[in-house]
Amino acid sequence: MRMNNRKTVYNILSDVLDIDISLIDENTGPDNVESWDSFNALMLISEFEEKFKLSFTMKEVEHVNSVKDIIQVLKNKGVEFS
Amino acid sequence: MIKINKDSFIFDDIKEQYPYFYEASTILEDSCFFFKNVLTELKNIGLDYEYCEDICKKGFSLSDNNFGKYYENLHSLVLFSLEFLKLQVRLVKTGKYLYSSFKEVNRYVYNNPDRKLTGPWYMMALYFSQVFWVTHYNVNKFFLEEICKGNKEDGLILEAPSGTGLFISNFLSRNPSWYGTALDLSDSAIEFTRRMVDTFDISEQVGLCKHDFFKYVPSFKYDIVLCGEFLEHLEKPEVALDKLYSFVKDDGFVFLTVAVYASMIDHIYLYKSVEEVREQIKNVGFSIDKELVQNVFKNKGPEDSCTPINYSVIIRK
Repeated sequence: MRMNNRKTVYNILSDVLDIDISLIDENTGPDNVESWDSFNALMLISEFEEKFKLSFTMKEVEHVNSVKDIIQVLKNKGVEFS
Repeated sequence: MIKINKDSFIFDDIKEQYPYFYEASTILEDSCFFFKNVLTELKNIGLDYEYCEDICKKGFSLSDNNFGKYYENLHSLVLFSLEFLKLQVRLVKTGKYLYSSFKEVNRYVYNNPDRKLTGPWYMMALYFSQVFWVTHYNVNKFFLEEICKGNKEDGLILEAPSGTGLFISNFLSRNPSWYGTALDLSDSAIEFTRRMVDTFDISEQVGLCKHDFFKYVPSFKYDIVLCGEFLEHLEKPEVALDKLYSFVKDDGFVFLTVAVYASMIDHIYLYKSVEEVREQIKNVGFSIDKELVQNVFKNKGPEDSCTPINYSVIIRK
């Protein structure tokens, strides 16, 4: 399950940002992925909210700057990761 | 709490010359990652720094010359932007705006006691977007070039609704023998406009009128009518276009801006393309003189449908 959640997050990132999943790691973010623009950032949040049945606060959305940040927010909300 | 940690910012090179603009840009850059892209784009289009500094300096004055309030007011633009993006995602997924009637917006937005982004907060966010949203900045430049210059010696101008009052203030400060009316039904808009005209030092040139746009029957017609981002807030925008037609002199013109397929929380009329707006304009008898069509997102064309577009147009009888 823990491994699956990471895979789920990476799959969503790959689909929304239209990048190969092999290029994604915890340091992936708007600084190194051109398609991670303002709209796609919110599209990602929306997909995570739907998939994990939770919601991000505006403050959390403001400070999501990398995959690592996303995973941290999800962990804080009880989603388990390996 | 104000806490800025970064070592370098996009506008470090103009820090000394334009301190108010610089402070504002660093606050935004530090607050949310996507403002870094926005500020880079603004830098690349060749900003009029004098204008931006003036707007930010006035923004500081509107924040009671208090840096904490300046920070909070700028941060309201971050929340405003995030809310737009979040609702834009929803629009793409559902094909609908969140609300479809004025009654709903009135209840869940304007009169919602739990909502922060209303009244003065909303006004400040809108005000700072005139510099820090690329599309709004470009509309302002278009307005200053096309509307504020080359006018006859004196005349009458109406801004309805006045919103922040920035358009009419910019105009009257550059055309000192003109007189204007700023009309709005909202208490917070009228109060903000009052503060705006004071900040521009043009209070002798403008009358503030708290009145319903649809019931307003002026005793004279205007040379110029300004109407910024209003139609998308209405259930029947054609009725507003008819009113604009009645407000303007036969040889006058209207400066109109419209948000197309852009999901702000209080937008209820969903234009899916610029062509829909043009048709409504022509149907009430106006002709299109000059327009500025801007896509909000870089990877789309200005005439694409179902993508957010900022449309500015000068229309004549």
